[in-house]
Amino acid sequence: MTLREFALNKWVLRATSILIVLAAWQYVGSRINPIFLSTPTAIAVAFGKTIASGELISAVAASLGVTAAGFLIALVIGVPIGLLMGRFRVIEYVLDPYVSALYVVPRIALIPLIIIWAGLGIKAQIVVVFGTTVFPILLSTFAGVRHVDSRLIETAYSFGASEKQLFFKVIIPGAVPFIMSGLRLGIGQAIIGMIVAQMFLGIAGMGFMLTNYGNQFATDYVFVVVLALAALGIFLTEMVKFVESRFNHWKPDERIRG
Amino acid sequence: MTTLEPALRIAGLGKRFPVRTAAGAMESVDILKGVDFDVRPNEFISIIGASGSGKTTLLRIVAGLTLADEGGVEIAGKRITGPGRERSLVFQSINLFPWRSVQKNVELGLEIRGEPEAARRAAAERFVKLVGLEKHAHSYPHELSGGMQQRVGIARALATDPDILLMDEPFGSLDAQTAEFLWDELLKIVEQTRKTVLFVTHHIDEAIYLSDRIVVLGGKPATIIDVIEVDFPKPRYAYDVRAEPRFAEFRARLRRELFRGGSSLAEEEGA
Repeated sequence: MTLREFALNKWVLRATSILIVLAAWQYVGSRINPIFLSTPTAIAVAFGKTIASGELISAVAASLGVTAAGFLIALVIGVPIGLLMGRFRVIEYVLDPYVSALYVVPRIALIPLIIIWAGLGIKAQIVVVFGTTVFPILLSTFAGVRHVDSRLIETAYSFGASEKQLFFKVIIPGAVPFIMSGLRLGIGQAIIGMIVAQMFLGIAGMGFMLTNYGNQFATDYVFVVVLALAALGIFLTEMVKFVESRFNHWKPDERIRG
Repeated sequence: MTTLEPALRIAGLGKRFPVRTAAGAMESVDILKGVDFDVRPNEFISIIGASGSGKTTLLRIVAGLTLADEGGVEIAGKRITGPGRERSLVFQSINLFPWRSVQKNVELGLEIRGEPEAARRAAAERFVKLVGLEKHAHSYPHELSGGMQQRVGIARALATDPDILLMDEPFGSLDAQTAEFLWDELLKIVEQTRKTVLFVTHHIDEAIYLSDRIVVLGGKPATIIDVIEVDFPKPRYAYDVRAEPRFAEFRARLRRELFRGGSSLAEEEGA
């Protein structure tokens, strides 16, 4: 490896970029009020303390539980409804007023109602996550059904397929790529929903930690939570991508770029 | 000569399609009218016509994918009302399921029929081998060339063991070389599996090369304007049929008929 090749290696470029930003942050942060920016070293210390006390681990666990529960319920409800709305006009016309209306209302606006119906605990948080997650999943599934190649439906029909067989052998597998991108969009929405829910409704979890330390102007601790959230987001997105790759093994590799 | 019960009888077939007029209103226009012919068992019949002559519509009616407005199609004396297990269709657009391997694509018809897995697999293996793709049984469609994909389409149609193979310009999307290679392959397969074939094409040489009889559609609405008996000896892949002087005569006759009045192509060329 020549020096030039080494300098252009993507990992070297990434590491250099991060080091420069951290150094600049450290330099600027230690010269102004720590409430504004804090410093990487202070954040590292705060990180160590929250790990040692078990606070961060239990907050991440609480957040992960709420996110997973809301996401899974959204999956179990959103995918079948999307499939049925996509395939059957009657179901589409009966349900689309509600889906369209709820989709355009920011789900955060429903939090007061959710508090009235579900209280302030875990249940209400799961409802909020469900509410933010179900629409991208449902609407992607719906679009997926609509994009199934009609020639494949006709092919199966020419072999005598029943409506049930068309549904399970053509429509569902044909809609899988769209369902998977719905899940990818959904997991991002689920994390947003979880944080908002815990900021409003939580007495535990990462959202609660954020509000709590924010109120105390403990900027270094706020950054600890933000970084942990980034890690959680990457982890969950990678999980969905892994599931997606298991379903898309038959696809040609379409990634072409310079 | 013994008179055999026809494999397929097309009787007084007519089809209308709604067409938008210059004024913007919808009007019903006759596409096919009074189409009558019998297909004998094990016969290879091509239906040829210029584009827009309704030949694909005719095949779709025989396949049970489109309903006739007049007359109908009889198989073993019974009027068909939809797709049936004695018929299989091979599509111009091939229509393989991209998420299924070659093997699983060929199993499709048997799966829909509810055949047990072992029987499905055995039948699929046999027909994948028949079309010469045993090395690619576990490939996915996008990994195959167009010609290989259409072999899979043919294997899929044969796997359900139909009496009648319906083929809608099956080689129309392939390059000329691949298509001509597949003519011989198809003749061998049809010979081995003893199928009756109804083959739609706009390709004159293809029709002469493959067929026992050629049904020529023409006019508006389209009717049968000629039926040509192609009595070259078989197997045709064993010698160069196209070097026969009568091949040129058939070709000239078909060209005259296809480029003559009535067909949309002739109108476009005359305009």
